[in-house]
Amino acid sequence: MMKQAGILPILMILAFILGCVDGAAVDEDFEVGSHVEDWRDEIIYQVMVDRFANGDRSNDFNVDPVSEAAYHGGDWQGLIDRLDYFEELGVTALWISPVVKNVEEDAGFASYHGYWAQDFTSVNPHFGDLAKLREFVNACHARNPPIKVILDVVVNHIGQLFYYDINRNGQPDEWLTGSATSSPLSRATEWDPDFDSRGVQAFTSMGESGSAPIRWVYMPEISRTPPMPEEFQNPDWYNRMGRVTVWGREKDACLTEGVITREEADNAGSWRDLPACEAYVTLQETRGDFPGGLKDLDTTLPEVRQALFKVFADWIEKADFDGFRIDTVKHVEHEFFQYFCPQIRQFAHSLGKENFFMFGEVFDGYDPLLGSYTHDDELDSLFYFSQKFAIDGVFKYNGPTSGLEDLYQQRLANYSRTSKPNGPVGADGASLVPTQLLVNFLDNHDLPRFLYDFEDIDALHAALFYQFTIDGLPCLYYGTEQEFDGGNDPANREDMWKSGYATDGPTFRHVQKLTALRRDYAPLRRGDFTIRWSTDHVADEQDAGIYAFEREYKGERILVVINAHGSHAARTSATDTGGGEMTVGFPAGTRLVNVFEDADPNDEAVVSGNQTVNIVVPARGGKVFVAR
Amino acid sequence: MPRMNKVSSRPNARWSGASGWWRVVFPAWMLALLLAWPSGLFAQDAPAVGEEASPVAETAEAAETAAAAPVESTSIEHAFTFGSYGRIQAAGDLKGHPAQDINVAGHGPRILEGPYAELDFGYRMEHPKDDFAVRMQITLALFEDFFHFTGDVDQRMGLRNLYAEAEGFLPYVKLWLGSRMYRGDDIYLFDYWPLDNLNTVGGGVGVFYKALEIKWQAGVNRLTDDFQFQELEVPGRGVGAESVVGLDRQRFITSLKGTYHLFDVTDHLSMKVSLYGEFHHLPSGGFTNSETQTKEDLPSDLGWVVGAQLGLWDFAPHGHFNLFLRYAERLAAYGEWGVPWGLNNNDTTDGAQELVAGFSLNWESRWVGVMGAGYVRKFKDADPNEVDLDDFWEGALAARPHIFITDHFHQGFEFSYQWRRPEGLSVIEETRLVPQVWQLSVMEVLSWDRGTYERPQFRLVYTLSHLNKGARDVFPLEDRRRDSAWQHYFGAQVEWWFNSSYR
Repeated sequence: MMKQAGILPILMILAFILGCVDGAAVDEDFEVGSHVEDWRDEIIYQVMVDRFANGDRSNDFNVDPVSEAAYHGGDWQGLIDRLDYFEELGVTALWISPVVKNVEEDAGFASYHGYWAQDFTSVNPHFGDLAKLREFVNACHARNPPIKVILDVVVNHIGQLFYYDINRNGQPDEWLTGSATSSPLSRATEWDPDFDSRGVQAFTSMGESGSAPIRWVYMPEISRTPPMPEEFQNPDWYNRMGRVTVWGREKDACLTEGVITREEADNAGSWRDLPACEAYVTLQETRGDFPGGLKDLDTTLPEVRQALFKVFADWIEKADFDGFRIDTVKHVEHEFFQYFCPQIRQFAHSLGKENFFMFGEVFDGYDPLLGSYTHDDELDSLFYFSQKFAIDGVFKYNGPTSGLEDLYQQRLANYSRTSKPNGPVGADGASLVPTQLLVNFLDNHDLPRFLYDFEDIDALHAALFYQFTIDGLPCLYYGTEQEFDGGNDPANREDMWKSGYATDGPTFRHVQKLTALRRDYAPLRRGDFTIRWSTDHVADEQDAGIYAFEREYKGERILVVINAHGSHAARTSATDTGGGEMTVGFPAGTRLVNVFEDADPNDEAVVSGNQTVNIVVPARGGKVFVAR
Repeated sequence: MPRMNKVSSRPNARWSGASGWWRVVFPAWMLALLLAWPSGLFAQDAPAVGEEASPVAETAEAAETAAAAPVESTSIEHAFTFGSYGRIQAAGDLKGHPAQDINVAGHGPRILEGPYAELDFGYRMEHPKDDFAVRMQITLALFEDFFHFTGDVDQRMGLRNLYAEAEGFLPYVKLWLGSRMYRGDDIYLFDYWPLDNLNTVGGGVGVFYKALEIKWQAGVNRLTDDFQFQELEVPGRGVGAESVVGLDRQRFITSLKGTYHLFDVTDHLSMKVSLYGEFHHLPSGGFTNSETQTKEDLPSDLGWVVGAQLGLWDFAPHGHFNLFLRYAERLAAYGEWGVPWGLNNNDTTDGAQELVAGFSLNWESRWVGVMGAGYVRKFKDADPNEVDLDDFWEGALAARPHIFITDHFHQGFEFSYQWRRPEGLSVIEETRLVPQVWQLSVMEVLSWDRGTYERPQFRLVYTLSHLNKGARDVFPLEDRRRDSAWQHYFGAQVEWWFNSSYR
């Protein structure tokens, strides 16, 4: 009797204690704060979470490692497990795939990339749960120096969660029309119909019958259910104009639509020269569904803007992200970003995040279009697509390095040089402007890898050298350091674990040296940028392939000289073609020493009396000179 | 009367591919069995045990003896027995919906359990020339819901026992072979066997010598889940396809339990001590993705359990107190029917753990009886994520007092508290929640006789449950139990057991 009387209270007390203990480290240690000193110091590493590292097999739902279109098992635990790898490589910020819950699959493709949102407020369970996401971000911030985490967000669209009931029969149909003899045979689908500026029209055998109603799909087994939060289930929140069809046939589309005449089309060099056509293309891009049936939000509506602000601001607070990479920016009108970005900056500031950073994806080589999104308090920076194509031209296809200078000159005209309230600031507290913060990259998840169509490791190394020494933030796509060479999506989304995360490969080491160089020399991170040499020459001329520039920060000056030419050494001189030698900003008599790669103490140059210097760089080589 | 034949929910046995938890239910009569065996079947060999058997055991023996009416025979002694366990309710939530359980712990109070029944058939033959005797036992279980509720004639059934047991061929020894639920004592109020509870096809040997029992069992299972079994379509030798078994791995489970009885420790106390061990092994195999024809290796795995039990009785009429401790690792942490989830990165269960401490008690006088129960359980799966919802502490406490107003009419109450503390965050609330449920039940009971374990028992039950925010968060967004912190249950229940094969 005594024994039983004693045990019961003990168990009750134990139960009470355990029941009332409310929270452990993951919940209570989580704090939102500022972890960035100066964004110019950062080296971004883009991670496709599903393909990087599988740290937890327990969340491997519907994983099929054979299919390139399926989930492969990578997760946030895998990233935690590989933090040492990132540090060893020298990258300082991780840009991770979208974290929100997606529709699981569509047309045989899975949402492993994360761009098919179904619930803006929940995490994608394939990658972990909120606690794991916080653990990952916390672990990044706990490094010394902290690794920053940039979240990929999509404000343009949701996943394919509804269809257009064109024939009003209440079911999603796909059918062929035409007889194939007297009329063309064409395929129509209610999932992803072609763009119609009136809105997708319902249609019966008797003709059109008004706007096609949209029908939400309810397939909970694949998370294809109406979007969350619930307010996103309002049909009026979507443009409902159908799929963008204009790409690659802009003039024809404008002609068909009647916005330009045949004569105008024939006389114009580019459709961009025709304002009416450009307006129509912009209309399709900003109001049409992204191909694949990704339903376009009507971001012109104030309530949609507020809702998007709220769901993404919440993520900053929930997981302490340091910045946003914003997807499909050119598919959203400027006015949205003029609302969204200041709101986000202000919100981040209110949380103590005084250096929140937003850069956007404008998948276009047209530099003025990119730059347009940095004005009027819009984005802090762009993913520098126009430069990516210029880099390919120079380092892959032997184009003139003057192309790089031309683009730089355009930058000053196209991109904002005005600071933004609550925007990024430098270590000295001065505001940073978009022209200083462009994100430089060679390849990404939407493009073939650098080596895919040009299997020249030296060219890759030279391009990386350029990427890591010019102004702006380098962004390395995962696997580039492992010499991945996949083609277009999904071949460019390889499983990182197949590399063994090797740290002894030549490209890994090359990147490691470049990250160390940036770390060691502040001018390479923060310095002003002055081009000293570029050339139109691409053949056997002395300077063919040479691109040289200086970076100067707080009186410290660095000279960078690159030879993009693939087959011969080149020098900073054009005396063979009637030109002169390269003028530099160093005083006459300054002894310059190359500090990159081999750090050969004999690799020196002396600035002449007229402040010129003649430097020879081997093919695909690069040198970084500091004063001694 | 025996306190036996309860059903158990096993939420740690999750079946991949199925929706939610696979609830496994089956009866157990082991407490009475362990206490009854020495006194009944081996009384001639261990008279001390028989004389000192607990009241529970004595009543069990009486029940069996009464039902085992001999059948006339000219050559051998033989007997057919029929027994049953059953429970059924007509109940609702006072809003027009059928009653639903609201447990947040894996083994919450059974007061709101759904219907279940067993039909128990036994046949015993005693050899005319010696002590050799054999008993064949068949138990058919019927799972909810029943025909009159759903109108569906398809009834879910399971064969819970199909085995034969022999004795008398060696002194003190019994042998069984077949398909059997094989387990020890339970916590009645939770319908929970916290120490030993196995379901296998196999056999076992028991040695019963005076106050000592040693029981060994070995068996196998091969679940139809694709963790153990896979049938593949392959090109036929002629036209079309034919099926082959690709994955077919059998889990081996063996257990050993030793129990020692100490009778008359004092004038009002007898006790027993049990030590228990269990071992599981699963060979390696390979699962083939039928679409891609890629093969995933499934490594071999193992698991084990160690545990102990202390039992006390004689301290009051029909009184008992059992204390259980169990620690399981790897495969065994998921139970013998559990398809492991949360595997580690080597696809094994290394890292999975289960720790259980629990008790059950009963105390009665002429006018009052009290049943009590409690347990605490820690479970951790094998995956490296230590902050997910699959790793948790849980527990429950319950007391069911009865006032025996007359022999047949009792006033009953039940108080309970249950909680669960997951290591992860609520998916919806995005913070750590600790689901907790408090329940108060009032029961008007019509019983066969005085006693908390007397059956049949007719009950008119009202239960008021309070769910905190965390408890409501356990249910899906569309589940009506999520709507209100206060939930009602009102129903008429009947529960019986008689003459069952509680061994």
